[in-house]
Amino acid sequence: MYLHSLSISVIVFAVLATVWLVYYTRVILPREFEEKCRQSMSAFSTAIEKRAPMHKGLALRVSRISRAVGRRRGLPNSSLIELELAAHLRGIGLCGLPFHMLQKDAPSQWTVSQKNAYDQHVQLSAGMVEIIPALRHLGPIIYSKTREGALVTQESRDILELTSNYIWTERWEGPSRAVSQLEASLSELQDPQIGRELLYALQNLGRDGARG
Amino acid sequence: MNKGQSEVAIKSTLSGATVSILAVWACFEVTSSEPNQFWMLSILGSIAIAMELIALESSRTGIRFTFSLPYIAAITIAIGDRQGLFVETLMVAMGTLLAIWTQKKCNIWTVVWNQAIGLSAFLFGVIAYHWVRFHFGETPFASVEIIVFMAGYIIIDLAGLAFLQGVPNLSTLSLTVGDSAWLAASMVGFYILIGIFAASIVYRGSGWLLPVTTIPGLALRAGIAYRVRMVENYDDTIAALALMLQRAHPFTHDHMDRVSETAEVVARKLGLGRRQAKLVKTAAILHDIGKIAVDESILDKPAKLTDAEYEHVKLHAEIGASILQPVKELYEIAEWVRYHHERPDGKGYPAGLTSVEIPIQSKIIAVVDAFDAMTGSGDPNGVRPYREAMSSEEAMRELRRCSGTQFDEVVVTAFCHAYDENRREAPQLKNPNLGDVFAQS
Repeated sequence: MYLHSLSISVIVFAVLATVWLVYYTRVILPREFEEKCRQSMSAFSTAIEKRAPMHKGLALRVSRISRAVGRRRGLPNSSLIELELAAHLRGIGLCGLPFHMLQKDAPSQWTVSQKNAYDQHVQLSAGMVEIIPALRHLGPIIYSKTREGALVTQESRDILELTSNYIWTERWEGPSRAVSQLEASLSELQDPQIGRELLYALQNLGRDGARG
Repeated sequence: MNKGQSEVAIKSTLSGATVSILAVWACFEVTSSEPNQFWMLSILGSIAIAMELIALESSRTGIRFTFSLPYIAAITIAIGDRQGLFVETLMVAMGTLLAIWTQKKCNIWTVVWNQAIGLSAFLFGVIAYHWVRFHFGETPFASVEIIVFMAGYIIIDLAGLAFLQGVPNLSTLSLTVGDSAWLAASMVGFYILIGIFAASIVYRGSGWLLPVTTIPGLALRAGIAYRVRMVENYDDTIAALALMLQRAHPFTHDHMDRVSETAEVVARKLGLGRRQAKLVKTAAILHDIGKIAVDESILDKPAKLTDAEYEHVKLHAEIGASILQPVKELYEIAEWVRYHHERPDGKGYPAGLTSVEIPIQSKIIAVVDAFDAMTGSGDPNGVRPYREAMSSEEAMRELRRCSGTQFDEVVVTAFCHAYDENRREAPQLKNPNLGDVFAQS
């Protein structure tokens, strides 16, 4: 009788502990992990913006809009976090560019060689990220010469590239130019719907990329 | 027969022999076990093998976290030692076959050693729980025996793993295997609970409930996966920031390594705990992160800086702190980075703090940073462009001369003691990285 009661107690306790563990690992830990990722993203953005003031606020806006597009595309939450992280890491390659070049007020003040160097910084960012073991998988999302890799990675890369190019062009050349450039690039995409989702996201989000 | 063909032949022979032995053993178990016991063994064994196949691996340390141990413990203690040995051997064999067929570059001796560790750990666990049972009798649902079995298994497993990684001493052991064990320790209660849960179901004879034990097992796996990712996120944030600084200022690469290793040694010498010393090491890696926002042409200028240039360089302390502050685990370090150019005589920057106000960690970084900047530590790229490298003795004299004004006296003394100890113990250096710093004479 004693052992029977004890066995029931053990099983009941184990079931309750399991329910708590499932809640902890499905709700609390993911939230905690996402928060830590955001803190890291903030550190990267601050470092980039200190070196390149012309990038101020860019990474945050790109990450928010990319996330909104990714959510509409049905990407899982883990891919959305990776997309945001990749958006913040996309600019770390700027550390390899000369300080005086990045301190200019606008890219229109760059020489041709400086502009070419800037265009290479994304490739440099991907190379830097691939040196770090747990961030290596973000390299193909930031930049890839080919269209190889998992479909989710390709889709994330297209979203990030389109959004980054749009935000950069919009900042320095105006929204009209940015929209026309985006529409011109749709035909080169594997899935042009991504571009349309981006335009939808831009219409429904504020200037800082937050929800309107 | 060429080399490739002979390799395939050896692998096939090994695989065939292993599968044959296991098949014969399985037939023996089928014919010798009671039906109910055999079905519970089959279910628990399948769960154990499935849990082994979904093991987690830390990309940074390469250490694998497996979740089959509670089930092995339940089988061994609630069903029988022979049955537990059978499932353990089956898991070990599957792991071996997978390794030799899938890994392109597979060191067979590493594989054999790994498997020997697994079997030894199992045997030690069995000895441990039998000892408890002999001296204290059987406990309800063998709960104490399960704990002892798992503890014995884990001890041998970790020791074997540490040996495999070539860890020669306890201090390094604590940095590699110990950190990973600490990570899993937060979930050890559930590890034990799963084992007791499964054993209690076997004792009740309710085999149909056994699959339910996979729920906490899978939840435990998800929990440890998140913990591993959070630790990796912290490590990789530091690595990414350091990499950014290296790209902006290439000469800082080896400087960061030297300063960080030495700072940790000095911190331990000053009586700071292991955790604090590790934080000091991290702070030393990132102490110059603010230089990302400093013009490299000014930093590399061989001539004396103008007042405006010097003011620009001074900003790096505050900027470094502002970069690190958003990260909760680096918040404490941000303050040390902010004040690593403060001086006990109050003439430092950015805040002009006096000795009692400056964190000891900032003082450690100041001394170690200055020593490395003066000596370049034998690295041609480590010498600053604006002055000649000094010898270690000259740099030590300079530190002592500025002790009490530019540098903290206690920290300088600790640094000098560490330097002298290292010279006495050369060439058998406890910390080879420290030897790199003090090798120049």
